[in-house]
Amino acid sequence: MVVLLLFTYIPLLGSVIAWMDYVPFLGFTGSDWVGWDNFTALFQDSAFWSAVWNTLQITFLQLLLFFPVPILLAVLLNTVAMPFARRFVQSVIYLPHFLSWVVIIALFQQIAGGAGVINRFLITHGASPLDIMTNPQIFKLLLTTQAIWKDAGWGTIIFLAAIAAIDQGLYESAVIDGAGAWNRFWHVTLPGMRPIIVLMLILRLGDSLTVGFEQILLQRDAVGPGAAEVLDTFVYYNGVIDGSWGAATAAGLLKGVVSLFLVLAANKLAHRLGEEGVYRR
Amino acid sequence: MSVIDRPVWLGRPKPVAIALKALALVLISGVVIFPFLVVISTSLATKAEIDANGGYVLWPTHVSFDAYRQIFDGTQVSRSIVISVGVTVAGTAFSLFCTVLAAYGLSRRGSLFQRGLLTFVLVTLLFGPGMIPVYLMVKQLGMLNTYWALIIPGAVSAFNIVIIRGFIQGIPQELFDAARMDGAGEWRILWSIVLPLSKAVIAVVGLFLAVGYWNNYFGPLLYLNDSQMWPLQLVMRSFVLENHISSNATQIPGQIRPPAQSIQMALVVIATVPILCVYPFLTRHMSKGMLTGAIKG
Amino acid sequence: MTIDNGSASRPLVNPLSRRNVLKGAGLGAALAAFGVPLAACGSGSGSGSGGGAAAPAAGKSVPLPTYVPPVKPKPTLEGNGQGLMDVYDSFPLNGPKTVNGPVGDGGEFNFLVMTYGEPAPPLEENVYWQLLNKELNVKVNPIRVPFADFATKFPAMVAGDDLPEVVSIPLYMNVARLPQLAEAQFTDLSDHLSGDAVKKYPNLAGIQEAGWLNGYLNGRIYGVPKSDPVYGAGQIYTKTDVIQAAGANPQPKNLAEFKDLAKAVTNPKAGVYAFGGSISEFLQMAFGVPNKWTRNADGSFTSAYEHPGFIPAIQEMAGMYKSGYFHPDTTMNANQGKVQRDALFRSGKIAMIMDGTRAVGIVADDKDVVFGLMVPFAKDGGKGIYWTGGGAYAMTMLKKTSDKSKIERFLRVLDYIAAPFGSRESFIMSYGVEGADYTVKNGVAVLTTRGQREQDLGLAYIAGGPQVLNDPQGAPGVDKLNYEWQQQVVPNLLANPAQHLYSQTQNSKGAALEQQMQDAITSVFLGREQPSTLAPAVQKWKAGGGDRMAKEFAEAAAQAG
Repeated sequence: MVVLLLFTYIPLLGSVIAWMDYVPFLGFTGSDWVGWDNFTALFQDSAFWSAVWNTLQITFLQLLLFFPVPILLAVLLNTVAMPFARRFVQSVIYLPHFLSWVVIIALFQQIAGGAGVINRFLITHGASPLDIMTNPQIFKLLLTTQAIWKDAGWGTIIFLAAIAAIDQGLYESAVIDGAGAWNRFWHVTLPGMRPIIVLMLILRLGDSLTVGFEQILLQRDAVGPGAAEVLDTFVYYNGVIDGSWGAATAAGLLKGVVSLFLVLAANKLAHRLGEEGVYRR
Repeated sequence: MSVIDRPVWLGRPKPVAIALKALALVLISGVVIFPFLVVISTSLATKAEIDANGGYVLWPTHVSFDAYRQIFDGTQVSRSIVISVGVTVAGTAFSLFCTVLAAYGLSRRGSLFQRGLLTFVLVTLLFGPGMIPVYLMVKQLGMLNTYWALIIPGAVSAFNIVIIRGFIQGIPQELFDAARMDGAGEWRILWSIVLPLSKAVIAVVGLFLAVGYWNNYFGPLLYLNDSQMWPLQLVMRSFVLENHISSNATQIPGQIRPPAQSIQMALVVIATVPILCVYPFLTRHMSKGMLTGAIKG
Repeated sequence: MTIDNGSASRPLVNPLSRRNVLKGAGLGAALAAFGVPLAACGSGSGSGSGGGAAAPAAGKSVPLPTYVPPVKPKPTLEGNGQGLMDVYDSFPLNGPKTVNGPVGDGGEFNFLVMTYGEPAPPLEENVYWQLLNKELNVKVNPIRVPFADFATKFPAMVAGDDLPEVVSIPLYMNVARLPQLAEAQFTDLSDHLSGDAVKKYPNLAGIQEAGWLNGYLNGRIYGVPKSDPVYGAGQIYTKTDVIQAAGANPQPKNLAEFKDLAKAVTNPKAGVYAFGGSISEFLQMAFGVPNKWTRNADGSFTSAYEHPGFIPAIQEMAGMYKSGYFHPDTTMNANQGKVQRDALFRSGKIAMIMDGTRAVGIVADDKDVVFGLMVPFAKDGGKGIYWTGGGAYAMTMLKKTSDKSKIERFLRVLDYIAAPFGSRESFIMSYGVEGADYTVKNGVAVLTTRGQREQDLGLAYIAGGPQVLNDPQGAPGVDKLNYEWQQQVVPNLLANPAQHLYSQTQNSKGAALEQQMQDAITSVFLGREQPSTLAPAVQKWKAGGGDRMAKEFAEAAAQAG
């Protein structure tokens, strides 16, 4: 608690620079107050709204396509009866988490890029190449695929832990009641994991305005800002690179406020469904 | 241990199901392993081969350890690995201790200030301070140029507290009631009920934390001026960056280097392998049936 | 990032690859500073004009240091004062002593420096470091910041008032309000350096005006420069063997020949392409686009984006992209794949790459690679213009003090570090201890692996006069190749008139505005947008701050006289 107080709360006071034209050598007391200028400048920029819209689209896509993957993987792994195979797969699938985006994107490019394995094959056989890495239309899907490859395996560990916490007695009695594999999944595994799934979902929602900054920045030129500008890259290009601390902090606060609403809403929904969520009234 | 550890009460699944599952697992593992093979192969390849293949090598014909030699020979890499291991172990232990205590406290409904404190924690999930204010705080506390600056500021995260708390709340209330009836105090409950039953999640969060400490280069960058104190990730970073630039002010005459690409891949390998060693320890705690075990004694 | 219209000064890392770096490797810092709750952080890149001359004047303007040509050994190929570099076949072993009398006082010399390599081994194991400590009679203690992270760490240190005594500020980092920062935190060195006063430090007097201008803020002298060659816009490296095999001419004389060359070498079936990344700057120079700004007869400033050659140059590049002359992963190659792009160049899959002047060293690293340098041409034939850089890589400043002995010690140490090529001091700094750091073979000093490791203390980045071409162990003939290219280019150098002027708008919004333009250019280049979108983009750039910059530059220029 003390740590939180010292390293989060007191420094949070520093967020006042959102209302300042902060210059590091002048400090908090020496910099000019600019009122809501940093905020209004954001709101008036159409590129800002386009970035927010892109961000939300990507978040939604990832919730739909990415979020369930680790859960399913965890369940699948859990049904593997050979300990060696299970351990092996478990240990392998979380490896990509440790590769940096630079490397991952380079590897994707080796396979699916304009001069990658697939297209080299097509070109040498007289077919026209496929535009995968530089196509704005499918960029968001590409991002999601990359994210799944990198982090789905890593994401399973928390769900594996959830499964591990399920009382084995429940399975035993389910089998005695004659439940098949599907029924066991549906009536024992899933309900057992549900609190954690809901919790993870809410936490992800709290983060919905944050989507792979580095991953996107690296590929932004390939598809253009129209498809790839997200909130974080927008702030990067419109505040950070010029050292506009105030503007960047203002955007950070806005993200927090939006997340607050999303989390409160999601939590309410969780309560309706009879779950604990992160926070009970 | 036998090859198959299917519980006795479970019948043998159909062969088709087994085959399908096996296929799925092989596919998934393949998709993951293949790129790693490329990374390792490239780190061992020679310049000629890398050039001929346009940057990456699937299987080197001439294995060369030049890249690794270049990285370890006369550099700080080995020393920085020791530093990184130390910071990671100390940081994870400290952080896990704080996180578990906080999570347990916040999971007991009705305890003193529980609601207020929970809000207090959750707010930090959504709003975070900027870099400069945190830097100033670290400076105020005299932690600049010490390893404390790497361990303490990020030790407590709301995310981890919330996750552990979620698991603790999943422990049946009866167990707590029974323990209280036996006259157990909070510390005892924590020690003999909560901890054993939350082993899996503690292992998971421990892994999150360890990876976080291991990969952290931003803290040392900001707080450590003395490059002799740098942990692995920051030293590695200077290698990676060195290979990214066109060239350098002091052009070193006639320096013959192993191919940049293989150095980069070797760096990936070096930076990943130590933290991978942690994993097997954790999976042990994540096998199923903990609760059964606990109840049955 | 492929297309970077360049920035004020781009010394060590050329603009193309500098952006690569920021994106490819330097991201981490920005990223981490963002975190989940977005924290502010200044991150690199700057199209900032490095210094500034006539911002609010604090005192009366002083003359720049008097230039006294430094001693130098006879070069193999003689350079000139316009920027043609001297070429030396080898480093003279017994050069003249240029520093007399004691340098330091045995105290600490803590300096902040941006570095590019891995840290040198610790002092107790590092004989090179020990030697320098002895030579300089100070305890050299570098605070190293990897270049991609400088823009993150520097503001934090400023905010915490943690800057060490000596700070080397790389000029391509856009330091917020540098003139005011200098006035508030750094020592005004005018009294010690202005005019003939500099003669007390002969090696500093050997630094040319173009270097000093970068630290000439508010009419006073705040920093000592590390000079940089004038070649600001990079160059096109040609894989001559591939080009000749395709029956093409590696040195086209006009745009039509250039396109013929591109067409001849491109062969998608074999996976061979003419270009590996944007050549925007090269084409703009061919179209006569000025270096960032033009100062008109009436004193007003006009941006290069408004030049009639700008849009056609981009359009031309887009046409070439459409014709398939660019490697299909052009954007990716530029983003994170520089290493990979270079591999493709070496293996002949890419016939031409555009990179910074110093990339010569990297390309020449592999002695088997046959390559040439393309001389810029004008679109319809004749000599092409060539954009110059800012004249210095970094300015080294001293934290505010009025202690005269401290200032003099600082200047004496920098005087030593700035010793010219060929001098005894410069040899020591380049080679260190005989036997350990280097060996002499056939009269030529050769660094050992240990020497290469030990010498990266960052001293090479903080002060110095004109650089030379000297690569005795490199591929034979490369320095000469470079020299000949420079000979062709030097008569057509074109400077940016706003280079050493300060504009508040440029300083606080320049990078964001520049990014918008670059996005527009990239979109047209890759065929996502029509070339007709460029004109509105330029208008938007002007309205968003470009016009104000022009006005501020004009005022600054008028004030500077």
